[in-house]
Amino acid sequence: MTLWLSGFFFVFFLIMTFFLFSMGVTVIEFQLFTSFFTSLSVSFVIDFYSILFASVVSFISAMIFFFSQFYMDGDTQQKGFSLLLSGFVISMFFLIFSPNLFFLLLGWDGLGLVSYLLVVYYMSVSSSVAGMLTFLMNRVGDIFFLFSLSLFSLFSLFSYFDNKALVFVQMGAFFLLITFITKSAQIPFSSWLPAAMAAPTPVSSLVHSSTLVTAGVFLLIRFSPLMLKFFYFLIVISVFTMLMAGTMANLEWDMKKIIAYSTLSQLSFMMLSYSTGLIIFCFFHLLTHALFKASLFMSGGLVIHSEDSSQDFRNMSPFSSGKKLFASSFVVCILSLCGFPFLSGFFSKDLILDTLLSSFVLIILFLIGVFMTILYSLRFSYYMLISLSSFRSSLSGVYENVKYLILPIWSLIIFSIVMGSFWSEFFFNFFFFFTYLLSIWKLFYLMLVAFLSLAYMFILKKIFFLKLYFFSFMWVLNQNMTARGVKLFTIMADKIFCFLDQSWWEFYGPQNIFFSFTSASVLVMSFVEWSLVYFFALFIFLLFFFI
Amino acid sequence: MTTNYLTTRAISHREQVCALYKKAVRTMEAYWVIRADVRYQAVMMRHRFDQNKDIKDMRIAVKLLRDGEEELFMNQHPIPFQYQYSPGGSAYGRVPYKPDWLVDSWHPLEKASYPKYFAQREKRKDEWVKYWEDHYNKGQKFDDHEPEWHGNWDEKLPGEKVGLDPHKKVKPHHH
Amino acid sequence: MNKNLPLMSMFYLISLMGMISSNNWFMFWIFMEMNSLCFIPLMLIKKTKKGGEASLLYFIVQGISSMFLLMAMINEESSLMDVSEPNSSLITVAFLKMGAGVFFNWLFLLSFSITLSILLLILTLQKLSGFFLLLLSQAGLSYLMLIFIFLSSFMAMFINMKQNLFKSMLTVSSLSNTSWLLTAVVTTYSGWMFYFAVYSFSLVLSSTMNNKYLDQNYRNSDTLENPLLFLSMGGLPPMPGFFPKILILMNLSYSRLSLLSIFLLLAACVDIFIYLRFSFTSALKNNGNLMYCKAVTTKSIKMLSLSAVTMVTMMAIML
Repeated sequence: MTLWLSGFFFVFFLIMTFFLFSMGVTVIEFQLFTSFFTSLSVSFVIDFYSILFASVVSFISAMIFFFSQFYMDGDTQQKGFSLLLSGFVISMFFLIFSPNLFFLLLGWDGLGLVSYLLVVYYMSVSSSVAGMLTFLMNRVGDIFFLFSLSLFSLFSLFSYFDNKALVFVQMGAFFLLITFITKSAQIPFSSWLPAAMAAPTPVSSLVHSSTLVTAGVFLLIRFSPLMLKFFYFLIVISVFTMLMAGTMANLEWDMKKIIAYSTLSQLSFMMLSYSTGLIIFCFFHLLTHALFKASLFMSGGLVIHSEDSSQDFRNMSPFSSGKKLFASSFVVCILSLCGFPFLSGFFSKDLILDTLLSSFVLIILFLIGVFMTILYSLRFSYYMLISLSSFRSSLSGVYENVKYLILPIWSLIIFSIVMGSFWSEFFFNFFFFFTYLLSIWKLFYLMLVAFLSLAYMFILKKIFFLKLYFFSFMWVLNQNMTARGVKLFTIMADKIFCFLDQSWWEFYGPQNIFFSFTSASVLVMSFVEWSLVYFFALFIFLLFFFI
Repeated sequence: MTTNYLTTRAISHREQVCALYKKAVRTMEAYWVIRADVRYQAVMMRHRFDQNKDIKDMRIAVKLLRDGEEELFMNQHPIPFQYQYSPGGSAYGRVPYKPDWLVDSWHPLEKASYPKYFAQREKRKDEWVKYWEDHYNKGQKFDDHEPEWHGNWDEKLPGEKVGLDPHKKVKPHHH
Repeated sequence: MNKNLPLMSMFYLISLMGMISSNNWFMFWIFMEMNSLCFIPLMLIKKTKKGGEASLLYFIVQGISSMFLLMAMINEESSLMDVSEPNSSLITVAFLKMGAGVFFNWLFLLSFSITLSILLLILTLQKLSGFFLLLLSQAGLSYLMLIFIFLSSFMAMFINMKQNLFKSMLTVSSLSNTSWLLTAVVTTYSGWMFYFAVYSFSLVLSSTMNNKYLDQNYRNSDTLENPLLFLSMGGLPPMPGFFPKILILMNLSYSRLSLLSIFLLLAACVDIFIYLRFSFTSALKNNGNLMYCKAVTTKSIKMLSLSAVTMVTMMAIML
């Protein structure tokens, strides 16, 4: 079943690749019905963005289905798992191809629902809590989506082709922005992203590479004409998210969570490039990031599997077969992540770095964020590689025949090495000769960071052992956005309920209106029941009026 | 000091020191990744404990203990290390445990749906009780009250409990 | 059955046809007289306690209105239909015949003393003469018209609060619908036709019911029909009464008459509130018998299916 699905998505990938070479925008639209004000239609947009992203999504999902055949082997509900996962991909396709807000909402809610079901796949209390957090936090975004949908429907604007500079449309665009940053887990809404790591690893891989969290960025790119006014807002949010994710990735010990934070920092990197106007670069980085992040997660899943589902770096054993085989894939992914020259991450990241450094105001924070990226990348690969030679308490490496996983992981690795330059030359038409020369300073920067990170690991360890609770718990975002935030709102609602809704507003609002209407109706009724006398008086009056 | 939710007995000073040492080593396991580092730190910590092992004055000893607990508290790890199948670990409770006695709590009508299975089950239960009486509860009447708590088993070290010399070199056994 | 009923009905219909197809006011006046002279015997077919008084009242009202029509003709010094400037006295005659605005009280008084079928005729076909007058005189949205539209909707809103009889509720709702129809007749002719058709259809459906007494606070009927009828006339969205209203509102918004549409909507909101209030009491308060079983098995299934068919038809027309 899983392999069949994998094959299906691979065929879809091939079809998409065929379409890739026919540039241009095609919109296929089926009118469902037209009523007084609205016309509802199912429409698909086939253009550069959707085809390229859909091909990447289908390729990655084919590889991940192949991987999950191995990873979820022996699980009792493997069939349902694959079906859920394919539901995920299908809702993502809805999101990619539909320009219509209604069907966008369909894909959006499909993503939310399926993500909840997949996070609670393991039947532990912690995954249940994580799933609920994920679902509710995304639900906040969905509510804003509904707001914006209702605002747009006032003007019967249901697709992103028609945008008008109306006040309501601007408001709706702001709500849409909030929706997208909830899905992409930017700073006030980031707490669900590490929590969602309770899902099985293939799910995390799919979520973080190409479906759930990147959906927000993809739709931001889609709706970019509407978002122009909120770019400054987005800059601040993304820079702080980048810093937060970087610190968290440097302090976290759970392997999957580190990768999750790296995704978060990459997402905010994309957001940053988006909000400074480099929309096409943002899309390019989205694609390359999808490739190496998928393979990174799959390699991580392999390590977790061979460590007997232990995710902690402090519990690594050198005796697992998967790790030996795939340590190099880790390294390639990590280097691509931090933008090592001539890997695919370099092509996208380097462009953004160069362009931003010439124009960017919050340059220090930005540089710190990039520094953090390189730092956690090095930290990750250090612990991954050092666990091959030294061992911790666990001696329980699982030996598995993982040879046939070479196909999904290494094909993605090859893609993530090659595709950066391929895309940049054939699709984006970026020229790199000048940037190579200009970016030599970045190599120095990389070396400096490597030195500093070594210093961090061996010399400055003590400094980092200060009370790091603030940083270790996502800048206390987790508490503030869940329990404390809800408490604040509850208290506020209680106050409003007591002092306004049930007392003053009720007294001067509905009750007052009802009372005044009733007394007015008594007055009018007295006129009407006065009947014939009144009528003849009116008649005589009119008689005089006409004569 | 004890971390137990409900303290049911007085805890001796020796126990408290041992617990402190154990927690200190656990905290160090959370900070240091490589096994050699952890062992080195544990040895250093053991040295710190050993320096004060001969103090007879209980006032100083208690103060040292309190200081140590303070230090432990201030240096606790934000993300403590946990094995995957332990409570708080990443894989804890993934496979739901369904206790066998749930089947006994079925309604008789439900049980009547599977008459063969439940007849077999009752038979096996009787056999198990008989086996237990024969092997572990020789000559005594079967009683489902908890036995009375005699003494404190935790007071003794594992070696002392089985009557071995703790300083004698024991061949470690594998699980 | 009265021997003269077929003849009278024929003359009645001929009078309606004649009114809309007459080309001068004198012919219109003749057909109007014919209309009232046919209708008053129809009122008297069924002998009731107050029937004579009611027919007399109706005769007086019709006489006064035809007198005004004659006076308007004399004032104009011509019986030809002058398209250039609609006469305000003609419009007043139309209001008087319809019972719109301040002329509502004769209709209200009449509603207590006539049978339901005659009331339905007065509320639907007899109003046609007034509307024909407005249509033929090419009345525009003058101040007089606006004042009467506002007065109709607001009076209906206020009087509606105090009604608990089925017939008087019908009458008052006809007043509020008259305000909508007046708006339609001066803005869009097709909208007026559509509204009038749907409104008459709903009212005729209501004649299948035999509820004489309908209490807002206490309910003695056990069917589901009345709330549906009234919600349809109030214009709650899925009911058939909603569609002509939204059509008229669309027309108003196209012609930028936002104030008028706001007033009409406000009155419609209050109407719907009042209808919903007694629908709740009637729907939620069961008298120990199985309300919905009875309702579904008897007439109301017919009613429901009819309203569903109407709704689908309306949707089709809209599309």
